[in-house]
Amino acid sequence: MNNQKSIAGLLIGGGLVLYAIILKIGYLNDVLKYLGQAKTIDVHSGVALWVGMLVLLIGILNFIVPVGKFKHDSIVRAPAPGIGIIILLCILNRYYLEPIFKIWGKALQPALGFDFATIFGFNYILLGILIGILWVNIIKIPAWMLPGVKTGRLILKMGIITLGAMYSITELRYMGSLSITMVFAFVMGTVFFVLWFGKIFKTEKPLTGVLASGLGVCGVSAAVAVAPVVKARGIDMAYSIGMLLLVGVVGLFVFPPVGKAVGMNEIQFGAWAGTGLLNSAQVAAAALVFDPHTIETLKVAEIFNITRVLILPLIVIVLALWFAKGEAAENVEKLNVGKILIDKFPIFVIGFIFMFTLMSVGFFTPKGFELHGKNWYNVTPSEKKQLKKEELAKIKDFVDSGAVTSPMVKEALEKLLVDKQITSTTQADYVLKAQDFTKDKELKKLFKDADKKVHGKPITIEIMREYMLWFFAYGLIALGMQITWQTMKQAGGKAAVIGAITGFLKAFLAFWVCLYLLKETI
Amino acid sequence: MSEAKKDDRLLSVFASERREDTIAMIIAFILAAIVVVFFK
Repeated sequence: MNNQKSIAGLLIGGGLVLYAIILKIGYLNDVLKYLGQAKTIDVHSGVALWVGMLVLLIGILNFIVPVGKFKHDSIVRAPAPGIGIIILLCILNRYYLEPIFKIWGKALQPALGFDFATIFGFNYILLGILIGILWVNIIKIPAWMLPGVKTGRLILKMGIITLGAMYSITELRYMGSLSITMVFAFVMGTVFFVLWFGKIFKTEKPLTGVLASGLGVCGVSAAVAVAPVVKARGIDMAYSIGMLLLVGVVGLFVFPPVGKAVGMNEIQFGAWAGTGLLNSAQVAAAALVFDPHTIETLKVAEIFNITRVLILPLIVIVLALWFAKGEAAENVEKLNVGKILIDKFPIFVIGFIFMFTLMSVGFFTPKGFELHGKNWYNVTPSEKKQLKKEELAKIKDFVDSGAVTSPMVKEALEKLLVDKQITSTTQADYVLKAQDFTKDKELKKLFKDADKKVHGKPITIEIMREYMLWFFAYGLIALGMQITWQTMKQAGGKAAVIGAITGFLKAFLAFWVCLYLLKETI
Repeated sequence: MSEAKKDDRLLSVFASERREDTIAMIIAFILAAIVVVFFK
């Protein structure tokens, strides 16, 4: 690559700019509408245009002046064409492939009896890695693309730092103490079990670390979040993700019939699924298979699942320390283990923790917004959020009927009648509780709608999430591009054994705990 | 040199992992700052 003139950047940058123009003109509107992506045109044409122009400019320079002539060429000019290609693949993945799989999954649901795209997790994460694997093994990676592929881990780290902004300490306040205790015990138990198991099996540390996180926390996303912390290679990720999906799918088909057979109630099954199954989508699917008519099981399962996801930041730190300690132990000639631990600790994890802290203190939250439970609220008065006259009349009749026996709920509804909208998150809780005092479906929906009207995610969080999705989409394609058939042949079996045994043990233990220790409340 | 360390050089455009971490942090926080300044 060095000291060569290259036309690649010019062509790829030009291609991206052309694509952005085609999008802006509206040639692809119908296709994107069909895929349910019409709303994304602005964002994705923007990304294509800006990245395209940058790659084009660097491409022109690369064409005129050989790469390698300037000091920072290896990190600025050389990666540009590869970055352009990966961005193109991200666009293909996020806006075309993932929606197509969603549509196919739904279309085949009547024939298969389940949505294969959800169950098997055909989302942009898995598809990204698959795209990468197929590319490297079929098309191969030319020399001009290699530096771009090498930026994958950097971008993935940026994604994980940004992921910190998706969590807030306030979310934890609303979780039940039982769900926190149980989930904490299972997550930590699983993580340490896998680490111990990996030691016995003499599995390489990166693979053990990724499996520990994936099996302990919440499947693929947890595995992705921990990958750079334990310096996982593409191949470690591929095996872990394959294993996690397999264990999850087996669990999904086994859990509901077993739960029915032993006569579990909604709370027991919800807690079992939320603890024992690995993937968020699979947890939701199992809860719905078990109890398709009410959403009680789903609600319980989701509480456990969310609690588990919230422990991820802690797991990232634990595994970072575990890995750094292992690295330190390798350097036996140096005596100061503490110092080596500090030297080896991946400092981007500090970025993740810092982002989490900023989010928790409300640094990213605009005025008027509040995170309450798992929902964002904006209760500032506005006409859009107000209930209609006839809706208010229905609520007034209900309050006057005397059906509400709780003074707090009654007070919340009376305030709703005065303000025409919910004005505080505490009030929102009581308005939702009002559902318990009626069997009228319309009225129940009305209370839910009144609550929904004051839901609203801040634009800042939306943008941060969008950043994160792009970083992950990019990082995972690049990671997939490092997995060749050859490396796949070399590794493998151990991940399957660890995954299968741990997955089974966790599900089995969670089953007994839920069946015998869990009563009616969470 | 362990396998992971050998792979390290193939996985990154940066000379050291710490530099890569630092750059990742700088970019991520610059982007976050842009969001706060313009959208909060």
